[in-house]
Amino acid sequence: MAKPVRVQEPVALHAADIGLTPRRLVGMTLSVGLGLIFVLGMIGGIMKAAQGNLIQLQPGTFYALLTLHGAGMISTVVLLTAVALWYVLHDHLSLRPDMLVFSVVAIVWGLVAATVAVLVGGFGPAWTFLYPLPFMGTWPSWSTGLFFFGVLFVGVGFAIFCFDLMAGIIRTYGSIWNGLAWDTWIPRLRRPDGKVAPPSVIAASMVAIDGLITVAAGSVLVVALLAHWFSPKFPIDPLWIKNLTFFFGHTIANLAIYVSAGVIYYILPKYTGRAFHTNKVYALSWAISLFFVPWAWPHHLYMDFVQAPWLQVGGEASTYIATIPATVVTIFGSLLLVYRSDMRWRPGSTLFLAGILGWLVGGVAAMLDATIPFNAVLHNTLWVPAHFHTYLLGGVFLFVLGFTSYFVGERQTPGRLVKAIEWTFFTGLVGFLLMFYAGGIEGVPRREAVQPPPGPILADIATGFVAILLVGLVAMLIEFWVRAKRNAANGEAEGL
Amino acid sequence: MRALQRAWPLALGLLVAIDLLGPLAFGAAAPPLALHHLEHAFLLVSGGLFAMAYVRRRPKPYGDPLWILAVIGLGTLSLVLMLPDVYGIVDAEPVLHTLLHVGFLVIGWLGGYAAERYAPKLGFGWQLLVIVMGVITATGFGSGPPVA
Ligand code: HEM
Ligand SMILES: [Cu+2]
Repeated sequence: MAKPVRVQEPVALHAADIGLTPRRLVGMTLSVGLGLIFVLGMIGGIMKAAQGNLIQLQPGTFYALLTLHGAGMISTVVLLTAVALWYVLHDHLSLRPDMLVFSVVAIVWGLVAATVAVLVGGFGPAWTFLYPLPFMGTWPSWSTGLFFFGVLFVGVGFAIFCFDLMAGIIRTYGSIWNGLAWDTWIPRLRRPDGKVAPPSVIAASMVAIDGLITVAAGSVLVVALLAHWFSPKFPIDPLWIKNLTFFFGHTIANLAIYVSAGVIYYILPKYTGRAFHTNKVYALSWAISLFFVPWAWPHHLYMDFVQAPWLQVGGEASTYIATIPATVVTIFGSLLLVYRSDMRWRPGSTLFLAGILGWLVGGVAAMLDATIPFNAVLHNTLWVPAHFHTYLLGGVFLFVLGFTSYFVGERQTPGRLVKAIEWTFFTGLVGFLLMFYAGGIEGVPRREAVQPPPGPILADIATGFVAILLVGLVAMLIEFWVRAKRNAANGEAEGL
Repeated sequence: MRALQRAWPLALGLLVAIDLLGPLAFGAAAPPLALHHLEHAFLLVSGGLFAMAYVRRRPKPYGDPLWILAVIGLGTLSLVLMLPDVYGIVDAEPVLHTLLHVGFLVIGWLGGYAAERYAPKLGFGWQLLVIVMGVITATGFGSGPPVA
């Protein structure tokens, strides 16, 4: 990796002032975040069990849990991927630990607020809180307001992260355009020392810019909803707010993948001994994602006949244009990196490669759904949670686990126990996802406490797979923990 | 080119001054909502540009994290002030309305200043935030079918 070129002396980091080294800070955040994922995964299992009539849940409780699971998982995954990217770039870009503390605290506060709104207040219009549902349910008004404040805090936390990332990139490469490696195309931008941003920094630059755009949209959304909550006279156009909701919700969830790509670019080479190198293709692909990712949201509104046709068509086109180039260069680049290399197999590399597979499969399934004729059939069926669980749970989350394993330190080759844990986890994961896809093909609707057949029987089978998945996950987390303690005692840090 | 680089603050200042005269000249007749939001965004952006030019001539060392919290707080404040219900209170009074517009200019300036104090050129991030918020508010913030 290129040595950072300091435009100016970096400020003295206040890490010591707050008594936290970057490693401890990231380790703590990973522990909290992974614990949260486990609990939210249990809630997912409870929902499946209820859909399969294995347990009884009041519909209100089901929808509250659905809301908590969706909002909680998305926020936690954003937090975890952000922390991973922060960790791999913090030295290179002189990112500041104290800023990370602010952003973690804000996101965790947001999560706490949302949890209280759901568990105490029973707030349950799903994590997309589509207007006017949040104002019409059986839950008390305070829970609606509290949930929106929670969303605001998650947005603020992400904005802090993006700002510091942007500051670090500009500090190290002179401008955000150089961070995007546009100097590979535009000679005028070239730096006198010839330094070009590595791919992980290109991804980070795209995330910082699109992240701020997303948060700006989210803040308009939340302020409008809070204004309406405060004074019901405040008018809201339902179509406008639906567009805005998905501008924010879709894009922030989508960005988790681009954040992960930055982590992949940095970590995968550690296992293969070859690096990703910036070239014009990377710069162009990421520039395309930068411009088109914020325009993909209308694919959530294909069924809204009042939506302007240009948005429908534009949304479909943008979805393809935004996704394909960066996905292809990353997946293809990763395969080239691995192909005939002296790949060193560790839990981390297994998880990263499995995650790339999940990203690919989920991405293809998502594109199908974002194609209007298919959407006419698949809209609102279990196909939707099928594809996004494939690339969030079977993609992004695996990258987070892979990063954690790398972070903990992987000097020993894994033994049989680790293999067994991996097999358990992946068996549960694949089975769980397949049941989702099967439900989608059968036209079982998503987001229903009570499903028509064959929903319940598929849910029964899925519940079994979820149990296997969660056992595998717990075992994996315990193994990480034990390994972390042992490596710390031996004075070994991350890597292999 | 040089001349242009030196002249832009003057030209922008002139535009801002003309804009500030708007409420005084047209009285209580506010522009359509979308245009009005864009006008506020224009004032915010102009303020930010002035701040960036100001700080660039006096570069400061790296700043405190609180500068970023200030940026985020100012962004939120500007949105609250953009609520038609809030600025509706002053719309009828040309002088108050003008003062609010000066307020937007000042918030824009402070936001740009705070961002630049955190790290040079970060004013770019603030401007991005303000422009996106302005454009999105113009598409329908505070307008909608009457509520029963
Ligand atoms: C650990 C295993 C997980 C299990 C067992 C699980 C289970 C479920 C179930 C049963 C649903 C309801 C589907 C329906 O009938 O509509 C659901 C929805 C959802 N899940 Fe998961 N999930 C898991 C992991 C994740 C992860 C890692 C994420 C994101 C990063 C995630 C995000 C979501 C979202 C956004 C929804 C949609 C909520 C809504 O419709 O409002 N899940 N999940
Ligand atoms: Cu005004």
